[in-house]
Amino acid sequence: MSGRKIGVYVCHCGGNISDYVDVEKVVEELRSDPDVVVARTAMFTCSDATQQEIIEDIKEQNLDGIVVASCSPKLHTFTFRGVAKRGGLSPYQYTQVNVREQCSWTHTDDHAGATAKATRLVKAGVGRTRLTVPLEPIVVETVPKAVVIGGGVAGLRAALGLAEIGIAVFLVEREPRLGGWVAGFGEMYPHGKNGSELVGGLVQQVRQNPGITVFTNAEVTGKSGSFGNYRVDIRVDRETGETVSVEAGSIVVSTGFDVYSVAQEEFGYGLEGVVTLPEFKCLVDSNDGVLEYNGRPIKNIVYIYCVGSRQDPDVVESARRYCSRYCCTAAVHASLQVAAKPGRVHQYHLHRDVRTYGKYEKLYDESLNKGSVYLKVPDHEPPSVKRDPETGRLLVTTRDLLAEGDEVEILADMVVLVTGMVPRANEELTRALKLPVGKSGFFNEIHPKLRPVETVVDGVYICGTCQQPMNSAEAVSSGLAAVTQSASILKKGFAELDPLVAVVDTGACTWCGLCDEACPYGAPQQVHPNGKSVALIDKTACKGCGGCVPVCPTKAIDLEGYTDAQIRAMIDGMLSTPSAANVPEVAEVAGVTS
Amino acid sequence: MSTRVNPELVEELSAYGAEDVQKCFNCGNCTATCSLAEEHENFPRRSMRALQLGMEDRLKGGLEPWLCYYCGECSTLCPRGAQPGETMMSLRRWLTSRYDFTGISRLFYRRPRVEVVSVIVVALLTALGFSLFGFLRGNIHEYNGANSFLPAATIHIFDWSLAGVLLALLIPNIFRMWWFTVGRETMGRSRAMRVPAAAYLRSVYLFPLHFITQKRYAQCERRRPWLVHLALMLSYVTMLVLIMFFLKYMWAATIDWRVHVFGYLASAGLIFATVWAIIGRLKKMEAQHQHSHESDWIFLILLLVVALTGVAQHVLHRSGADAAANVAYVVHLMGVVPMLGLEVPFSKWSHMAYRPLAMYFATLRKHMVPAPIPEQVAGGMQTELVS
Repeated sequence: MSGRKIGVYVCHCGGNISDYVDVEKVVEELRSDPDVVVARTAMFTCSDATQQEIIEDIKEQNLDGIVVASCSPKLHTFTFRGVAKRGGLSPYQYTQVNVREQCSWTHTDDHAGATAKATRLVKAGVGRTRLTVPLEPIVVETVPKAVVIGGGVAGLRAALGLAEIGIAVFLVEREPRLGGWVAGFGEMYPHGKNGSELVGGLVQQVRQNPGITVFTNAEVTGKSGSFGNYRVDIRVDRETGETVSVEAGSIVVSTGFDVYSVAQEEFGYGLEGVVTLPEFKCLVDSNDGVLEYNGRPIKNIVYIYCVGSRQDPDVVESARRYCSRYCCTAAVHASLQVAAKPGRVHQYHLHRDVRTYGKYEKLYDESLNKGSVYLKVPDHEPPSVKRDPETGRLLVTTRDLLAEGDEVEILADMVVLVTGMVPRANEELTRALKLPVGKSGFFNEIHPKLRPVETVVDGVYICGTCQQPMNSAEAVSSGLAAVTQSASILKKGFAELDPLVAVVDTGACTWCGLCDEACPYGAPQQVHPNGKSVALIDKTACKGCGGCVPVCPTKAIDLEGYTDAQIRAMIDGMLSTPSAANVPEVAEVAGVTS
Repeated sequence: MSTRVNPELVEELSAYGAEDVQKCFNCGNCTATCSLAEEHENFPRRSMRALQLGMEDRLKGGLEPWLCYYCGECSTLCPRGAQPGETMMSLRRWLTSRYDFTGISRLFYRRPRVEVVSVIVVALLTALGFSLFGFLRGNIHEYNGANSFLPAATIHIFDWSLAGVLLALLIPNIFRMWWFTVGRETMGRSRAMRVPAAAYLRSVYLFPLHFITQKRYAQCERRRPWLVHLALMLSYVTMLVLIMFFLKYMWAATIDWRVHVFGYLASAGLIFATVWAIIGRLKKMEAQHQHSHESDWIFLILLLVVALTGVAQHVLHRSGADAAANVAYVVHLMGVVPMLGLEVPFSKWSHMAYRPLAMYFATLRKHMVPAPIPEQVAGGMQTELVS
């Protein structure tokens, strides 16, 4: 009994929950709690009508906390936080209890048990809500400046995009010149435009734009400050180590990829005439006449796809299992360039699957019409390349799955290894920005569909091929997405953050530094108010993960919204004795929930 | 055993009529719809694929093209317009040229103009030869009798000599066909496979059976093409038998209905089937009529000329116009000689032999089993030769 006024809503989810959980019984149980002043069920709590009812309840009953027992918080936390806010309540005085994914759907064979478990879960939610306090979002001011790291096609386009909407840009490039990989390309798909000309135009615009400051031969070495107001250290002279420091509200990382480097003897690499796709592309781009290599005309070409991509862990040690996405189309496009040259060249494509997705399929179609032959080779049995002792040409041996797996031998003048993309070595930058790295070594976004360029570090965006293999058109698209994301925080002048962060009781804190070690975001900082060393959590850097709370030896840290007291109240709620008889033992329920 | 690919093969085949092979993406709809394809002889997809890759040896040693009767369903249903039916047709032409040891067939298919000129030259030489012969020893106004322009007995000797030459050309080609498809694997250096002698004997009936009935064609989705083809074939064979064995009845002054009724029926059948095919090809009526190689036209035109002049000669002779009948006879021979001398051994007409033989050889291939490795060579150096 605390004098709180809490509203509890248990959802049928149209039967998804109520087919297995007796929702009326759950509500009945909750009514016995004196702080629960409203308790009811709803067919679909997320429907507009029910949302409106909750808002009216909040106003009429002067509710100071609400609990919705429905689906996963991933689905509707923000929906009901909005309901609380519209009712005049702090959004953080709302608790979502998951009685669908974690209850009704998992216990379809035990209705009584599911009902008992749902009751305990909702009681835990009520326990947490009872101890909520009205929290306000953290508002941070943002600096209308951005740092773009990497001057390839994605970074250049992003820099221009930011400058166009009035955000000052610092463009940092590690190499002596801007342009990245695309600057080295000739004709590119699908429009046939020249890569170096394309990038040349972008570089010129970047150079001429007064809003963009370009640093070449430069690297980002550190980041301090907090979201909206970072200070970024840029080493501008490798020899002297001279560093400049700039202010930035957001950071766009577009550091690009590396080409898979083929090992000697992998697919015959090292033999004369065995080249990688980028090497081959240079050869094709370099002249318009008959295709020649070392003075000899090329009559037969064999392309071996997926070199360094989609590797089979049974065949290759520490296999790169991802698909590099751009290479199928790039190889098909190169073969079309070859077909357009004078003289008849026979081209054999040894592929795993042809992934010329979307409109690039037309290129594949065209190449078929131009006489390219495609062989689907077995995953577990890569083609072999050696020198044919009789003819002195290259002899490729493989199996064609479409010819009943028969072994075929192709005499070739050139073997092109269609190499994929690998992540760049960027340890220093990764450390400086605390960028999350995925299993394949590329930087990770928060959500591949819904938050594709944001990282877990607020205000730090990733785009282009540092994120995953993509072609230049996709890299530019993601660069522009990063521009939009930057604009959404930088143009408003301020940003709102969740207040569910760690707070330090400075009386109890003795600064041992354990919290700083535990924090992946660098939020705890050592400060000295009144001569005593204590920790202060940078609210804008903290993500509310709670990692620092258990490591604190003096229990000086608490997490807003999930305080120790709230967690204890939730456990009490879980362990409370149901009033009805014939429900399973606590131990059983706990076993299920753990 | 790996096959070395011939990258030029697709281009080579385009001279034989296969122009859209590369459009195929191997979905297999063609084979699924084909009522003749079997697990053992799986076509057209398998043949299309081998051709795309340039697997020349596999194609040369295969019989699939002969097992197809070109109903054209595959081409109609092909989602890529890759014309599998026409590809099978082209492969038959190509195989004909491969079986022919003289190389003339290859020349004719790749350069149809040479074939046209050859036909014309042979026709003119025939005209010249028989006219000289007729004028020197006989009378243009006499059809039969002592002074006849072209006496039956002499012509008959000529017929049989021509047949001898034909067989001399055709038999080595048939042997080569057997060698490529059955012999090489069983009797060649490797001797990796074996066909029991009993299988040779037990299946030999397939050759005459398929020659006369073409019953495999009847299994195709539509029956009409089979009926037309059968009519043409039976008419032709009847006429051949009549000429080779019953010429003196045909020649006689009176009509012997026991023999002539066959002649009339065969003539009608020949004219009907040839005209049907020509109109079909002109109007592109059926799937198998969509594409016409020059060799198809030469063949049909020759056949029609032969049939019409044969009838003309008969009618003129019976109505007493002996001079005109003799002229018609010479023109008739101008068609017959190039048709038998060039078309049968070197061009389209040779399928008369190859197709029923293919049924026989395909059955032999079904009986093919791996040959047991002789003990004395097993494990030794010579196993390499065996494997």
